[in-house]
Amino acid sequence: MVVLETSDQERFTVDKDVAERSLLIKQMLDDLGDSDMPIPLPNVTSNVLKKVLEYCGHHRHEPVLPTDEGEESRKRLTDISEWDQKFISVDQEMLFEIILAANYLDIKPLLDVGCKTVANMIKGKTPEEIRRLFNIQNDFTPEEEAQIRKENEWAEDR
Amino acid sequence: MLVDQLPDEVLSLILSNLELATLYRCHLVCKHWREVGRTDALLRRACVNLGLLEANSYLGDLATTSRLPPPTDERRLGDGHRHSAFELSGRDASDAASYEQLLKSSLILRKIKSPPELTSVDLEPAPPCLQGVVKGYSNHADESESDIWRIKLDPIDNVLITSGAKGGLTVLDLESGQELWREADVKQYAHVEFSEGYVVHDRDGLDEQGRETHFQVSEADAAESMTEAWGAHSLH
Repeated sequence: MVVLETSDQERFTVDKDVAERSLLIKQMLDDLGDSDMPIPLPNVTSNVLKKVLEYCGHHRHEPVLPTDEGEESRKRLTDISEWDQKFISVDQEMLFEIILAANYLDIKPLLDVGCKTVANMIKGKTPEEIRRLFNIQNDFTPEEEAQIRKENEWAEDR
Repeated sequence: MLVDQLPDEVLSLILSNLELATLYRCHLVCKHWREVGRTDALLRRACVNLGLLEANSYLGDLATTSRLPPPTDERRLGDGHRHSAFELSGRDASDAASYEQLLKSSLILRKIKSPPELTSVDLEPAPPCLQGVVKGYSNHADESESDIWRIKLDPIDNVLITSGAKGGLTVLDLESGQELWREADVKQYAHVEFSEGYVVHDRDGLDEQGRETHFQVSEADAAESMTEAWGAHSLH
């Protein structure tokens, strides 16, 4: 068993194979050797870690894919599995927190699911709709925007 | 927690999941998104997704290894002249400015190759200027003769010129639909142009003098008879 400590000082005791879905934690455990010391995760809050561990528990028996090499040759997963879809059906705030945690903890499949979910939210929307969706300030002048719109015309699928 | 707080590499990962059209729409969201959405890494990935580059290969590899495949319908682009996306944009693979240039030229080429579907118009009753066309077309009772490959319309001389998929070239009067003259000795799928009283069509083989020819130029005399003005000019 491994003990993880979140930024808000909550402790989670989990199976080693579940915790090692996170390549960051796996690396830390390898470095520490046998130890009962709780592993500090100062960038993750307890409500987010709870969610992340739920994901890790569900996928604990799947092979861990190498992060870097062969990223493109790996079969691109265009669809998100049904369980993952249900799991990631959270509010926008939590979605970004999960993505951020997956990035920090180095859990590539979870990061992928999160990013694909955000990408799906963007699909088919106009720039203005995307700004409204994510509360982004438009910092282009109307002239700049018109210019880029014109430059990018070739990419439109019409 | 806002999308703004995600590190650039995560935003880049999100954008890498988008179709090209949506990716370029994201460039309009704000300056930061445009910057992150235009990195070489991201655009290279888009090239890979569209099959323009092999996985794990880079723009520099294009110059030495594979060129883009030629279009499947080479006949339409002219025999012996293969276009690639780079040639179309006037660039060679070795000096292509960027991945964006590769994407842009390839996409434009694809659009040319698959033009939007034409909608047909009802020609009954045909507008006056087109009645000759309809009549001229239906004049050919024999199916083999009505096998029209290209149609050119000259509204000044009021003639309609067609070349056949099975060879031959026919000039019809636009008003009456009557056949003015025809030339049987024109190759299949001939390209044909008409301007200022001259008909130009492509041909291959040797002319009477044994010169290699590519185009035949003929003069139409007042849309009544045809006199060969220049003979077979050797245009290389």
